[in-house]
Amino acid sequence: MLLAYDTTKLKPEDAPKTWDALVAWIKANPGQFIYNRPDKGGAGGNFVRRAIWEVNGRDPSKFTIDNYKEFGDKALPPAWELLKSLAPSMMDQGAYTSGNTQSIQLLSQGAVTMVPAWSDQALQAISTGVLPETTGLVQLTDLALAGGFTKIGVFTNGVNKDLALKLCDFVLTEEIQSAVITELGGFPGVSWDYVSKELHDKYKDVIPASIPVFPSGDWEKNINDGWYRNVAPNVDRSK
Amino acid sequence: MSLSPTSDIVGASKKSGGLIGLLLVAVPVLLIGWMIIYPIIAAVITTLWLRNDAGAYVFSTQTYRFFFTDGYSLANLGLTLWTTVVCAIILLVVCLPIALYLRFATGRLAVYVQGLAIFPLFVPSIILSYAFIRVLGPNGMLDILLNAAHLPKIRSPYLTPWGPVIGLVWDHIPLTVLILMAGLGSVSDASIEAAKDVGAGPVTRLWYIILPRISNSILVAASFAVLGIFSAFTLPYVLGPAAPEMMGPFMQRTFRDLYDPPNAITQAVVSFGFCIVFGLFYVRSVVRNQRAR
Amino acid sequence: MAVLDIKGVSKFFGSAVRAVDDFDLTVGNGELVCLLGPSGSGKSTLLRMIGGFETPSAGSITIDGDEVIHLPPERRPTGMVFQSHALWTHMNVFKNLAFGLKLRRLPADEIRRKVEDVLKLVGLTGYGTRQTHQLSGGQQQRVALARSLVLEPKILLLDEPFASLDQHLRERLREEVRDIQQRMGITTLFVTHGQDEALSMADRIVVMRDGRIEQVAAPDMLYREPATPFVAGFIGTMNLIEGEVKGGKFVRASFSHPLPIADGPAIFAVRPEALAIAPATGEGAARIHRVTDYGTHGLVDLELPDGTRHKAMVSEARDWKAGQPVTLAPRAFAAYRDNAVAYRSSTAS
Repeated sequence: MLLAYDTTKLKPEDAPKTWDALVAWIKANPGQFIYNRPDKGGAGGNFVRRAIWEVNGRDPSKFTIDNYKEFGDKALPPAWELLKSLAPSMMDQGAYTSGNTQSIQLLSQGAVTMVPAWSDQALQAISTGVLPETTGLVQLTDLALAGGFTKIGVFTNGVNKDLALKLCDFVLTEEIQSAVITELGGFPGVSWDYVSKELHDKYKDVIPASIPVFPSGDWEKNINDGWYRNVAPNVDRSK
Repeated sequence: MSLSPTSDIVGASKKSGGLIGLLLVAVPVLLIGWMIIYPIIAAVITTLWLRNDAGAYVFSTQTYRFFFTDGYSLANLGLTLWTTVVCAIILLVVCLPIALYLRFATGRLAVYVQGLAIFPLFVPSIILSYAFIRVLGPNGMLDILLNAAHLPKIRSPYLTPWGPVIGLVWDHIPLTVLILMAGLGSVSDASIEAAKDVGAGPVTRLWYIILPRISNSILVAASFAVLGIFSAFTLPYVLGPAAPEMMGPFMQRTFRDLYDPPNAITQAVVSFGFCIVFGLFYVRSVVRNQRAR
Repeated sequence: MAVLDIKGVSKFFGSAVRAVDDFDLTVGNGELVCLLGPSGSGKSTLLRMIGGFETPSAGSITIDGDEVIHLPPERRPTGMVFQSHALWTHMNVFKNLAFGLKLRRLPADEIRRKVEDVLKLVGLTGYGTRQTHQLSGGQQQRVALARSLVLEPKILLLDEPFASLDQHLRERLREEVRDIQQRMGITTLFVTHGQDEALSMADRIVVMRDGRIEQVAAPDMLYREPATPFVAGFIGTMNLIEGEVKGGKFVRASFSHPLPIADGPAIFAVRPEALAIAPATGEGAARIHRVTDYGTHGLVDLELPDGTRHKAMVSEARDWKAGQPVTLAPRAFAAYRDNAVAYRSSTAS
């Protein structure tokens, strides 16, 4: 998860690299940012989750898969207030697209300057020309936007455990790890050490210190519903 | 006595004819029972017999009470009704002139207009949605044209309630035009010429001769439009605002994203209740039509 | 009450089709004129141009001296009755009749009086509250007639109004329509392709073919003195024998008859009732192919040696049998050349 932006309107050196800088930029450039509804695609969903972390001490470890009951009522309302305060600065005073793709389309039409996007989708969009070459990508460095992992599991008592581990070794070769970036547009989940030097330099702006993950469980449905009930309405878009 | 074998044969063939008829009808009837009637009943039961804390199923109107006291749900229902009514009105206003033109015009142009009017039938909603963003969205084709003519940009209807309205109207034009044209087909040229002959001008002819004759078709067209629009999903989902949302996306979200089948089904039953009212309009007009014959 | 004058009216569809071609006709006050012709002869197109439903490509149409060509149907003083009754099925009989009167903003009691009068005229007193689908075909056509009459048009136009009715009803209605037309003295143009209808109703008949007038004449004259071979063949039955005139004699195969016109091709026309036959000794002029007995008279099909067939009427069918050779003796006949009468025997049938 990262932010995709239009370098013709926002210079790479001015791109926000912390949450506070991002909020300041959004408010200083009303109508130039849009994120999609949190249940309609991970880009918006993880942007919302990043806001939740922000108001809770920027500490992902506070959120576990089973602690919504105790923690939820305390954790979410401040996040809604934060997101509501951003609403008037969104495109059309509080419009939210219904998917990752629509956000990218609006960015490509120049309707907005910045959207949160999946790294793979953004990189693929750039390579196929859906997004122009002038599209910039940036990751927050204070705490990265939440991401998702693709995992390979190996059974310790598997019949072909040795073969499976051989596959893992293969996946971790520089060739494959680089291909994760160049072919899939993903991020090397294990370590950037397996990636070639050139690629490492090319993407150093978006290399997060770690890729935090937000737990699902009861959080998921309550974040989705809470956003719809608190953030999406209650905005006066007629202005 | 010599006649009896003959009459037996007639009787037998009638019987087997009736049996074949029943078998032919049985398949759709069973399908309707299985795929429509049963789910309706199941849905109503599911939403009225809820599991209590002790794990027993008890009668409860709780989900309905929640729906009808929840401002958010009611706003969604309200937007759905608003969209439906506005779309139905715009559809009739847009399609009636097209249908009248196609009924009475002759020549090559009419063929092209008809093709154009039927064209949306072949465009999937999802493709229409993205085309809408490209054309009417911010910095879309319309804005580019306006800009080229040194005019200000439009306030894009994308992500506002008017987005789904425009998309749904476009989507429903073919069906509405076809139904109205079918109705107009039963208005004979001679009956219109007779009206001209006794001195009726164009407006009088439309109001007193043509519209009363196609009132049934208008009702059918409106019912079809309402039924289609009330439960629309893709266009409101992609083009509409995040909140309030139409019942289609609301139900889907409640079910899929909130993992809340009882409330999703309650929303479905409420939607079904509204649709059935329009369905009854349609049935009534069909029955009335058959009686008139 | 009105005179209809049609001058040089033409109607072209595209460049090739001349539906009506340079048509002239004057219909006198209170006259009933029938336009008679086969389908495609342009008679309906002409009627629709008078009613205002088609625009002429050329010519003028005046009613009592006023040009009407530029007027739409709703502003012409004409009333039209259509082939299919064209009643407004969502209105009852009264409303159908009152519609035009209401458009003229007449007071309600006057509308009621006029509608009741016209219902009486067409023999449908008390039918005002009926729905149109509750009426028989004949009653529906009477209502359609009444709908035109109630507005007291200067010119009544009838476009094959009885075409969809059965033979018996058709005969009754044409008498009624003729009675009403004469009683009201309304100038009327009537389109039909049935010669019986034209002969029994019209003051004058216009026979049309390919958009042009073949002949305009009173019914009896049309039968007795058809101006062209087409009219001769279209009205009643006529034997039209094509042949050559040589030395004052018409010849076709074994048939010959004195004909005092110059040498050249001609059509010899004789009606079956004017063609006498007599048993021949030897070959004869023709051979009987078939005999049909109608009780009151018989009809004999004759075959000339070249295979052409003709008809003769006989008083007693039983006197004749198939295969019999006969001689032919026309009692009254006409001859056509260049689509016009070249000779007519003095005792025209």
